[in-house]
Amino acid sequence: MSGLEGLLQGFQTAFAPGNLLACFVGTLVGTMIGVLPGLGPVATIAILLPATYHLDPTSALIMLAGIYYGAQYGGSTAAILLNLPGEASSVVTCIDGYQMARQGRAGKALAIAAIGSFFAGCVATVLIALFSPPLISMAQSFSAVEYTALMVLGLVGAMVLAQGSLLKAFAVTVLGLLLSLVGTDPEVGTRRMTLSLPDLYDGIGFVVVAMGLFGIAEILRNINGAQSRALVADKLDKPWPSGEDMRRSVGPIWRGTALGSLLGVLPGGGAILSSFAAYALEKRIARDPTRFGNGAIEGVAAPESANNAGAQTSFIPMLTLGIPANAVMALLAGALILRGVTPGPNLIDDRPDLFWGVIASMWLGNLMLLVINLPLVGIWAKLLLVPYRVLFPVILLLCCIGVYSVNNNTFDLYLLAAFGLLGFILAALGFEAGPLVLGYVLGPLLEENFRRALSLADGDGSVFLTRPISAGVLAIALLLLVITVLPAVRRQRQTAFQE
Amino acid sequence: MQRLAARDLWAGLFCIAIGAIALVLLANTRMGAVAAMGPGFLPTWLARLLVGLGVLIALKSMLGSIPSLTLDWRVLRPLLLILGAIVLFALLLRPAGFALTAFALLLLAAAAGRDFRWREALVIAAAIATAASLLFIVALKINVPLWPSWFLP
Repeated sequence: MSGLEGLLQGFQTAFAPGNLLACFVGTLVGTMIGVLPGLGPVATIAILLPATYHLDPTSALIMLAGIYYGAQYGGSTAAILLNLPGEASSVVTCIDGYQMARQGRAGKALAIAAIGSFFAGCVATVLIALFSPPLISMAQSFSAVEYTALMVLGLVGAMVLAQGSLLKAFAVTVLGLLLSLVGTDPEVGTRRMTLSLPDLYDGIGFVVVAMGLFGIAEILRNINGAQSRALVADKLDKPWPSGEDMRRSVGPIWRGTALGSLLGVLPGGGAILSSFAAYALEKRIARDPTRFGNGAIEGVAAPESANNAGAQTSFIPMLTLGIPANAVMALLAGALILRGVTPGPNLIDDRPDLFWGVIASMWLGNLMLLVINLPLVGIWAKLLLVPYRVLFPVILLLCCIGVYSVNNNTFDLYLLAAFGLLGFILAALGFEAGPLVLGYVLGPLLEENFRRALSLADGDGSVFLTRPISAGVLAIALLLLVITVLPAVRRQRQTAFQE
Repeated sequence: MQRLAARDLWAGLFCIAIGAIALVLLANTRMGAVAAMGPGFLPTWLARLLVGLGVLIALKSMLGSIPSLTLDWRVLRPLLLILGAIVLFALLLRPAGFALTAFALLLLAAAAGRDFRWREALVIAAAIATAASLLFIVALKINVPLWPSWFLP
């Protein structure tokens, strides 16, 4: 089936009433939670994961994808109106978006963010439909050797793009892999690291890990932060850009979309890298770079298009190879695995409805963001003003109910507290939790493929280097590592994160 | 700089500790050979790797001078209250029912905040516990009793 044919079939799935509703609820609730201070897309998805349990896998993934876009858009809203980025991918939007808001152009900034995102979403949807089938037919000839190499590349990518020291990112990835192996060995049935607790025989629940490390740890971090907030604009200007604004934004939106689509596919990439790169590019090629930082609409249009394009194309490695490229994709892959659907090259044949339905729903979700959320921006702005001391007990309650309702098991709640503590310790010690979650999701797959690869090769490790694709993938991983430790790049990487 | 170095020393020690715990837990798990890996093979090597990385992180932090280990004790209050609220929720849920448990969690969590106000917290906790009971127990029918069993005949 060609990409466009598949896409057509996907639209039939996406327009089924149940899926349409899932997409709508996802984008709406995602925006609502994502706009709240201190809750980025990862935390939002983690908290709302259990809400999708009673849905079938297709609707669930459509809803989660909607939550992702919604949360990202909500994050941009907070960035523009409050100078308070919900998470890293909207950090650059703060720079010019907040200045625009201070000049009374908040509505225009929000509108161009939505229009840019929508355009980027359309392009990225087509790109996914075109490039997925050939990538999948290539992946279907992969053996355990190639899979092991690809997963190593994914983990290395996450390490390289994490903030702070590479050594610590490496350590936290290893910790994630180690935690994923707690429980019964799938091949021989031996129990590993279970402390003889029957509740751990099946391993540590994915929802518990995600919610503890992101939901609870986020609360603990924000409680100690200063919380003085004020909206810049009492009344929003009309959320529609002027002709001049549109004219200025066309170029940045195109360039942002192209850059974001490209960077999103990279392991460890996705929204964050894309938005930083797009902003830097616009600033570099601008005729008058001094306008940036003083409310240049290009500085909102480019990163917002880029982060949405990147967010969407980062689905490609997950849907085609089964290898999540970043923490958000790790969460979505985890949600699918939990339901017995394994993302990977067989997904397109086993569940074409799910595969194409989700892709088509991405376009639909972006449309909903544009036509539903933009008029609601006034309500989102009000939500921003709810004081955090009222908010966080509610978030905590939602986390507890969510975790308990997965298995109706109070043991999971004690584990939740333990992982909240772990998340707090990791943050205090300067470890990033993103690579840990990726390691946690990939761990069992990595062990399975690594074992199989080496047992087929009679324990000869050189098999990873003699097979061309595997050797090539590992060479890229090595290259990434080498580039990162080079002093010049290290300096630039630091400044990029500081900006 | 001094503070960052101290943080990294802690970070290194943390990795060493976790790796060591894993190695103790894995002591009796069969390793197997490379061609036929046992259940202990990958986790044991990962744990060793974690210890090794911990040593490297700790050593790197000690380049120059040996940092002093310090901890800001003020962060402990919200930490204990939030984690305590989760544990309390787990302990109370079955015997006390959802409504009272949610109320207790909301109140305890609110006490972890910076500017905690008793009266406001009581009102908000009561309101949200009611709303959550209606949503999760009455509407979504989660399998949890609403009230303690002795409360209703």
